[in-house]
Amino acid sequence: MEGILLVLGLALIMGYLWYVSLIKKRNTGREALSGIDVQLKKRANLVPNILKIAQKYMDHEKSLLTEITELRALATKGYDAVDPESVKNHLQVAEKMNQKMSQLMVSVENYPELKSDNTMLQAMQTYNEVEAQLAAARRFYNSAVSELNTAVEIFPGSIIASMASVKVMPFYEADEAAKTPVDAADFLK
Amino acid sequence: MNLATFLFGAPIKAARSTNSLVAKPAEIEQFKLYYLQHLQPLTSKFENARVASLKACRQRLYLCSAIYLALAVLAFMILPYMRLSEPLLVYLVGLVILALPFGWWLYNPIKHYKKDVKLKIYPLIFKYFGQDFIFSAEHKMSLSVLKASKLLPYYEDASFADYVQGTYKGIEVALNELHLTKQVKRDKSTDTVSVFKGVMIELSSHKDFRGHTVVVKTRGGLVNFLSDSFKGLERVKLEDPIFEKQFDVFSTDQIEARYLLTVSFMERLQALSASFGHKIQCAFYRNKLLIMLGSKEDRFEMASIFKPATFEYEFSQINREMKQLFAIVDVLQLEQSNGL
Repeated sequence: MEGILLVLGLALIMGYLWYVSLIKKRNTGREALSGIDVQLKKRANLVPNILKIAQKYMDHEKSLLTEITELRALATKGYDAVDPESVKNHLQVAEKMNQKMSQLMVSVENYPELKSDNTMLQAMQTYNEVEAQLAAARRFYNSAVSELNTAVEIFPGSIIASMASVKVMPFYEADEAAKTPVDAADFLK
Repeated sequence: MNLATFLFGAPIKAARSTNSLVAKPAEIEQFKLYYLQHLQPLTSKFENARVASLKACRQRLYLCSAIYLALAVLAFMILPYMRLSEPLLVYLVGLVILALPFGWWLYNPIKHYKKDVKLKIYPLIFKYFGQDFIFSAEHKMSLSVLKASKLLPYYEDASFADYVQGTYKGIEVALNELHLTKQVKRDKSTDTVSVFKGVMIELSSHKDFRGHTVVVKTRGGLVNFLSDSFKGLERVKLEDPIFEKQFDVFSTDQIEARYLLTVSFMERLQALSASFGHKIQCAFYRNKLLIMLGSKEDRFEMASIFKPATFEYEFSQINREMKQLFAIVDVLQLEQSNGL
């Protein structure tokens, strides 16, 4: 009898620790998501300035500018951080916005006057800085989500997760820019 | 000349340039020109000083040897009359103690000469890398900052040597030789063990950061779990499995750590680590990138006192070592605003 009680007690403690670990992972995921939101907010605040400067020169890119404006409005709209579907949509809009902004940055190259505009240069620099921060926040988020999803999907975590209503979260997927490999030997000869 | 010929009285003569400057073909012309303009005019004076110091040293050596031998013989004769429990041991210890002041006194002229070279020639050599470059044998980095960066292993004693500071491609560079030791108790004795020997490099950063991120050689999960060396910092798990195998990253800010350690920066750090025999660790702390580079060799060493004071060896050697350090900035691409 005592043995059964001991096993039950141990199982209960283990179950509780598992539950604690799951909740910790979920909270880390949410914290990482809020890190992304901070950067998205910074970017959303920056976009109107870039568009205002760009409008002066980029007559032929009006559809792109309008699209960005619409996406910005969508990206700044609230969403349910607890609902994975809502998070997924939110991240997809953010990524689409990212793609369109990259397209805009490439188009800037075709407008030498705009390219040499000091205000535009400064805005682009700040934008790139925010993008770098966003990329970092995305990496942290994806790492946290990967840990959470693994814990939620593997038995017995799957049972505890369903009891505690902890769900898998969507990854923030984005195309990584091609990286040039570095050969230190070239420098250290 | 070498130590043996010096001891046996070979004539000490001044020698002139030996044309042994070594540099990469691309810079050899400029290198030679700098040498001819700034260093060669001083060689004659220093060669005379070197010869004088060697002559003084040898004179003192002969004098000391005679006095030392006389004292040793005298002590040996007196020894039986002294009622000592272990006369031979006392005699030998006495001989060693007696040798110390003699050694100090006879080495003094060479010590002065070497000090003079480091004081007057080395700063000129370092000016070759930029007018703002300074060299100092006394100046040292703040040990409290290095300690606070959490890069240093456990140590009990720290000694700094040569210090260099300047700007390379817009990056402020400072480096300092550092040797850390600790005492280890054996069965019957206590030994001094070296825990780090190498150079600390401090580089300014174009990226702003407020947190504290440390990249150390991987220590294994169990050590990380038990150790409190990085108290206040959280383990950062990065997506590159090869990097993760080689390094452990700790930071006060998960996002900032990833902002600093971009995928390409991780690749560069790995490449650099492989080039330096995996003896690199670094920390982003107080807006600086601190790099701890382990190395058994001393940097910026002088040629033998028996070689002529042409400073060609020193200049070539320092140039090679500095270029290696500049390569760190090149590999890490710190000069670019998006380099990190």
